[in-house]
Amino acid sequence: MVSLGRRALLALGACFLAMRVHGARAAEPVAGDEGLVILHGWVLKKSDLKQLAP
Amino acid sequence: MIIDNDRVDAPPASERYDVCIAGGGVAGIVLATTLAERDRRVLLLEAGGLQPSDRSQQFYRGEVAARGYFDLDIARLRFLGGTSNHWSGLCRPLDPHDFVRHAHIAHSGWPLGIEALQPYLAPACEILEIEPVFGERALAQAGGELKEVIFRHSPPVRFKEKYLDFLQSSDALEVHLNANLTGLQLDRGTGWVTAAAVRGYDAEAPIRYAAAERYVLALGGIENARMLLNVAEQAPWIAAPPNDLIGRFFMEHPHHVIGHYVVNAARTDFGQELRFIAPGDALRRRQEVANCAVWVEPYVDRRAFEGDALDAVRRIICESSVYRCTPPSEAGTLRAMVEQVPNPSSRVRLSNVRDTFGLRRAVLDWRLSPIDKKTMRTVGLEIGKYFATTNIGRVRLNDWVLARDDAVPGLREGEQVGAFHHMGTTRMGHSPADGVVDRDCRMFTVPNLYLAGSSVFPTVGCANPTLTIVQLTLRLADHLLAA
Repeated sequence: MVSLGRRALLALGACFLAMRVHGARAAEPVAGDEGLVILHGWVLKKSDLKQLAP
Repeated sequence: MIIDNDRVDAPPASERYDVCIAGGGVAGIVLATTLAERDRRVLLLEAGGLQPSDRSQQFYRGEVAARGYFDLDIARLRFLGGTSNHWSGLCRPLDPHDFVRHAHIAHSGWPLGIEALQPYLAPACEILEIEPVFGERALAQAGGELKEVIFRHSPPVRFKEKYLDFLQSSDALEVHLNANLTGLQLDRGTGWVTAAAVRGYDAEAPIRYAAAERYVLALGGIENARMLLNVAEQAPWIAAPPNDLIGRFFMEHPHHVIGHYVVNAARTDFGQELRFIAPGDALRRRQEVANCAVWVEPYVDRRAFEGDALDAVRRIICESSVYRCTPPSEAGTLRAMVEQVPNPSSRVRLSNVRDTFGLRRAVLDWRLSPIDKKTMRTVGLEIGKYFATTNIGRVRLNDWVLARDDAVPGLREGEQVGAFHHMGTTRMGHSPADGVVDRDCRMFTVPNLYLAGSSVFPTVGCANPTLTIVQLTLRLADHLLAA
């Protein structure tokens, strides 16, 4: 039996993962520059995505 | 001297002039004063008076087809001084590569190089009251892809005020106000203009004819073409193939906010001043795009922005869906002024509606080309890369810029779209097959008829046209003085 608190933690973790995946999918590569992506129109460094993740 | 046709019932003097110039705007006034200073007998015909009036301005009404544009009677001014009465004063000469033919830009290239205009740069700057220094520098860490270019600000010079005393006092120069050019008489045998038909606003007044050795149309980028097309109704040989380019290749400088930027508060080296960023030669060639100047334009004091750029991006993207399509208020806009590439389908033609002088009004059928949008997208992305990789800040490009299509928003979408720069409709070429005038601004089909102003530009770069207009006009003056 999984405790209520543990279930809540698992749900939060799933949400967090889903948002990370969504962010990664929404980001489009910039042609000719592997280090950059476009996310909602912003021209970002790939490393920005980690900092921007909720 | 100045003669107001409203007040004096006199024709343009019956004697023969050396040069008759139609149009008292920047080109017309510079040409008239330069020739008169060298004692040439000059007649300058200005359709308006000393002040704007509906009576004169209504002759600029016309139709706008296809892509939307400003009302034609708003985009131009029809009184002494012309558009210098409302220009912003921003100046920069064309770049050397603007004169060159580029394989990826059809119909590009001038029949002369920048060296032909270079001797006129300093005198033109003196007229426009600007320093004749226009540097550029490659942006550090941009890999030569981007450069910062310098524009100069004229006060701006209002040509009516600047030259009124000279126009009134010169013995060699007659300025006729409220004198409308309504046609040209041509000799079919020689192909020469023999007289200019001139009318005042009094419907009862007879048409007057002014005779000169040479004639110059300096009516503006739309009116030069409109007048010639109207003249061609009576003399179709001046515009018959292969001389059928009159009115084609209309170009503007498309103006669009392509995105916004935020700056890292730590980047104190990124100042508050307006900057202009342009693509480097390598970027233009590799991506096969045209020229472009992007104004990096702060809209608030950057010090109001707390934290680094990524903090702002995080807030904007993650904390409010509203801001996903709304720019932040702590940074600035990227406003692109783009070189429109030559497009023969973009043109001025004649309407079936006639003005009160019987001349057919203008129809502006302005069309962009796919490369125009590609230039905005390519340069915008490169500036985005530059901001990100140098950590100056971050750039958000507007959705339509990133969309992989040729669509560019118009007036209906609230875009500025253009800058009242009307160019290319009587382009300069090597021969009648690719131009209306030769490298001396003389019409191929009418040997004593010249065209002045931006209508002769075969390509337009990304610089505001006034400085180049003045340079070309001074060069035309030298040609006429030597003739």
